[in-house]
Amino acid sequence: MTDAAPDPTTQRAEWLRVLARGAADELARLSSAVLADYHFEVLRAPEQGLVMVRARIGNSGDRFNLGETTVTRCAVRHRRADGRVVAGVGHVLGRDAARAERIAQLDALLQVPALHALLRQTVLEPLAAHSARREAEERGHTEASRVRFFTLQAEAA
Amino acid sequence: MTQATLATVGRGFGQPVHDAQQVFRTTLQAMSRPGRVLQLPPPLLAALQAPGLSPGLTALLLSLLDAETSLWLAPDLATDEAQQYLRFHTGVRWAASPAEAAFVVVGAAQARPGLLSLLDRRSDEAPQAGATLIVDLTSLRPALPGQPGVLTLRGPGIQSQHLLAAVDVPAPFWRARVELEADYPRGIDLILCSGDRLAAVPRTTRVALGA
Repeated sequence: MTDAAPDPTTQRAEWLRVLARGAADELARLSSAVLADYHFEVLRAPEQGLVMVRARIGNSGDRFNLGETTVTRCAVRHRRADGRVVAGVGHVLGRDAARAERIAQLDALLQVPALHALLRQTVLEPLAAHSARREAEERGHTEASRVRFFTLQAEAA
Repeated sequence: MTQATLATVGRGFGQPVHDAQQVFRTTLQAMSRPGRVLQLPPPLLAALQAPGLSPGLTALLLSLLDAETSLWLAPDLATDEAQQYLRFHTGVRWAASPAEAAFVVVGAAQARPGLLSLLDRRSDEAPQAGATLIVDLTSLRPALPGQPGVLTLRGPGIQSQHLLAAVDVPAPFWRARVELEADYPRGIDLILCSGDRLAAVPRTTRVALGA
């Protein structure tokens, strides 16, 4: 947030990433109260589908198809107090329809300037902190059992 | 699709699965009883925000199209709004010409013999992969003998004969359709659509002009 004028698309991608990566129960806990106050029109009810995940060999070589994964997507619309309409989309890995819908609703509300700061403070930031905490915890568990292999290099003559 | 269009695109089916099934069932019924004029369920159509197309045609397209089908819309029907609507709700691919499309939609004025001969009828080995032509009419009703523009239909699904009035569709189109009958099993399945009603003239039906 130190950037002078962040690109709106980048900014939106950033909050969608935080929402999509956040844990479902934490997201529900943080956002249930605020979402209950607004009315949404469902543009595309949550639907599940398959998406091909592609990767690169060794992370930099040729592309290959890693496999398919389930993705749930949803689109909703919200009519703002001033009459303008904002649309929100939610895409999540897996088949959690409620979660995809919640994210689409939050995405729509986050585009309303009057609500943005509040939502960022009450939903996005706590959720990002929760995800970071969870990730650090997992990393801690993994770190404890880490085995360091090393290969002795022949000394240069 | 950009954010701005997502905010303005019309609503699709209220209950996508059930509504599409109901419309499909009606279409199936129309196909198996050629020429019979059937009405689509009104509550289902009321929930739609049709993009400048008639509600019946919109409902029909929403149930028939998906990402694996291709569609050619006549230029006068293919507004930006209609294209965005169908693309968003069905994921349909656009065909560059009528000859490449699995579904072709035209208004009655464009239903010309030339169009019929353009359409993809595939081969005798795979006639089922041929195109379906949907014609949007201003009026479609069961007919009485002696009325102008009346068609007499015979064939599978009709006990003896059935009369249909599709007055908007010019007679040369029907004559070209009659000529296609010789190519059976290759042929064009035709769906006539008007407002909230539809009727079908599948390739098995033998058409005669007049009663």
